[in-house]
Amino acid sequence: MPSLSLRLFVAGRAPNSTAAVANLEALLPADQSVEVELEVVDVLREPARALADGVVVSPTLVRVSPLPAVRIVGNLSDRDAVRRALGLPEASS
Amino acid sequence: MSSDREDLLARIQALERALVEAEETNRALVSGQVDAIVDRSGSRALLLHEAQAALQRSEERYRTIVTTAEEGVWTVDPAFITTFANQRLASMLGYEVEEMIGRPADEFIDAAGREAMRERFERHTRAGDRVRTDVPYRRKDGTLLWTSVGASPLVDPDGRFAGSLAMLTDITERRMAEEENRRSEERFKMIFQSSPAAIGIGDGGTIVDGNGRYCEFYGYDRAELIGRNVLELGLWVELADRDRMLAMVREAGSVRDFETSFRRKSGEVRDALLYVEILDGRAGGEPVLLIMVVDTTERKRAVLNLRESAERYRVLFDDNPMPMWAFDQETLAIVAANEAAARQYGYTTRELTSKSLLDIEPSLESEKTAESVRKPEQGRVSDGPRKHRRKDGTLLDVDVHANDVELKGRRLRLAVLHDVTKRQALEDQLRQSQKMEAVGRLAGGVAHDFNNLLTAILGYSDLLDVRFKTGDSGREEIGEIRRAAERAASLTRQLLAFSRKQVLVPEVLDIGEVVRGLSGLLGRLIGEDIRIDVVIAPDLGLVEADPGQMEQVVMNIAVNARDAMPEGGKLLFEVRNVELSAADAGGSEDVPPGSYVMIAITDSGIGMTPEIRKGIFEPFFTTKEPGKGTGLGLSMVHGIVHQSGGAIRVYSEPGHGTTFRIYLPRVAVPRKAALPTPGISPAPSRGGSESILLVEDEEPLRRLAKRILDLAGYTVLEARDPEDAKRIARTHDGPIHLLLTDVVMPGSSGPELAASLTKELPQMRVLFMSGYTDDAIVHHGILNPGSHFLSKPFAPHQLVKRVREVLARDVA
Repeated sequence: MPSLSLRLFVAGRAPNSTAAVANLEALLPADQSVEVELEVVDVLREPARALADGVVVSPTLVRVSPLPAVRIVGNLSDRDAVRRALGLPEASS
Repeated sequence: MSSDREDLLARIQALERALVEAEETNRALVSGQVDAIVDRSGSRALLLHEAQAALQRSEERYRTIVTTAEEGVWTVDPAFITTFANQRLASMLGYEVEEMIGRPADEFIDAAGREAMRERFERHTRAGDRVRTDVPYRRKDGTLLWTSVGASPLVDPDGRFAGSLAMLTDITERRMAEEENRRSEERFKMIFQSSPAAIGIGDGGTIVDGNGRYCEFYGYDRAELIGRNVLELGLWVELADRDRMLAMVREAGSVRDFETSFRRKSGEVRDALLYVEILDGRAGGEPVLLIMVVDTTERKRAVLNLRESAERYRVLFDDNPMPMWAFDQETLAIVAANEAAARQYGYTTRELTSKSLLDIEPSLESEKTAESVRKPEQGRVSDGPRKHRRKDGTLLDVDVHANDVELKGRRLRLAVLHDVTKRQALEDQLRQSQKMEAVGRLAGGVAHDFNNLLTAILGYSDLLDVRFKTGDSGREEIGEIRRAAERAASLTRQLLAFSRKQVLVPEVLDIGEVVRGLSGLLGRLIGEDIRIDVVIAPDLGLVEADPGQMEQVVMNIAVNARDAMPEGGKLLFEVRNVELSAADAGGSEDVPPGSYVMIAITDSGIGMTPEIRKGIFEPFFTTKEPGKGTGLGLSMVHGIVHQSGGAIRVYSEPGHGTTFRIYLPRVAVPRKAALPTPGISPAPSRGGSESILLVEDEEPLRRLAKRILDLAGYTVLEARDPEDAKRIARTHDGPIHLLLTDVVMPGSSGPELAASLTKELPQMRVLFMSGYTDDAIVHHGILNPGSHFLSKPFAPHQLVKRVREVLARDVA
């Protein structure tokens, strides 16, 4: 079963950050077909971690694994594009 | 190689991804999908919307500040062109904002400082410095706008100079106020420094400031004075004055006309008036004082001098014991007169200063004399005596010592007026008495010779008379000769009496006879318009006095009486005995109680005031005009009467005549023995046989005397002069019993001869004879008192009698 390790950098409960969390949860496959590991990091509390991952703005979603690392900036409202970037299958509609 | 290519490819893909990421990040940022930005240092993250809000807020605040600021905000580009101006700035300068944008900022600066200001701003702001300075601008309407400008450089993101930002505050009012302040300060400084008054500022005794005059007043250099303490410098002469001044300042806030004195650097003390104001009153301690010092030393000295000179004037002029006045040489008006002058002329000084010299000096009324007074003379003038008139009309003899002075443009003559009336009178009297003396001498000399001649005439008449028998007609004629000679002798005697040159020999005499004997002469002397009565009591007592002197006493009083009756009148001579009791004598020392013969001489003349009466016996006192009296008459009367042991009283009232009463003490001597009256038939005198040395230079007289003495039986040795007498005395064998000698002779005097001969012949008696005996002879001791003396002329029997008396007298 393929696994996916994600890390979402947010700025507290700022609107785009909240939106990003919601968009991400929605786009992740609900069928358990892919094992997803998600860590949410608040840059307001841990700015150093953001910098360690080369993140300068929030919200930013980082695909930690599989490599190569992918960074997606913004509130993740374009879910298809996010799925594509993450390498997830297109949602069946 | 393929691995390299793969590696390169991987790196390109990574870069592409980074680029995509960056693009996406950018897109996210632009689309507003970014919430926060992580700080590059990783120390913090900023929420993007907060930052924006903050930025927005700050921008808004900034805008608000910029637009509503009290300050004007001005930005210019590097070329000094206005890029921004806020509303405030525009209003300050009177422009619209739009009008300003795009215009060079320096155009708004006042032309005078424009170049310098622009240069300064550019230099500093280009160098990155801030500039703060006051800049004068011209408003659109041309008025001046003073601003305080703070300018900072503007730098673009690349660090290049991008112009300046300036903040301007309107300080016109403050500036004006400052300007006004500065100007008034300058004015004050100028007034302070150039004031002719000495002004200083004192703070608790320390001299904070002082102008030129202030330093001058104290005599210090400015540097020596400023910052020093007045007490330390010892400026106050009286420290108590300073305390008093401070107390007054504290109480009233200021002090005016405070009198005190200060000590200068040289030690000199100067008087001053102080004017003090509080500049800065402080609670407790001494206030800061503005002190003005007015030097009053000169003024005070001047006042003092004036007072002194007035005092000096009063002392030297007003109180001067010498009468003085000053008169105008033009008008002859008396302009000043002192007290002594007022007294001298009987006026008050006020009256005198309203008089003219013409009122005082009658002779000036003649225009010519007045002109001579007006005539300008140099220096001192002494003149006099001049006749000046007193207020009561009496005339004074005044010596005038004058000096020309000028007072307030008037030519005055200051004159000292020496009253010489008395001196003048004395001089006149002296002249008179000298004249009388000369007349007396002349009369005395003539009388001497006359007496010798008369003695001869009388003597020979007597001798001749003896030869004729009674009833012989020749005797009658001899009698006539004799009477004429006697009258001549009487006149000679009167002449001597009048000139006070008679023989001074008191004898016992009948005053009645003296008065009676004088009445004939008095009648001639006094004149026909005065009736003379002589009342002589029959039982008159005798007195001891010199008949000649007594004659003079009576004559002098009679002559005064005559002068007191210029219009005629009565003159009464009264001679009688009086007994004076102690009461009558009135306690007077000069008239002790006792028996007297009184001679009263009463006239009906003008009388005397008590003042005159008091002075009549004083020598040189006279009421007669100069030349008319000697002032010696009554003083001689007084002297003679007192010398004779008597007294004189005078009773008189103005208008009621005068009575002189002379009291002479009575003597108890038989009346008969008193008067050796010459007679035609003298009782034959007893002769003698003694030897007599007769010395007489007058030959007729000598021969007469020899003849008389021969006839009386004496042996007479004749000598022409003292030398002859001495020779005879030496050669004569027998004794010489008597020396009969003249007093005044050529060569030597009778007394000298007597003194010389009596040494050799101590037993020899001496009898002097003289027709003229000067007072001086007696007074100089030539004739000793008690010498035997026979006065010429004498009758033969008198000679015989006198000779017998002297020879018969016991040797003392």
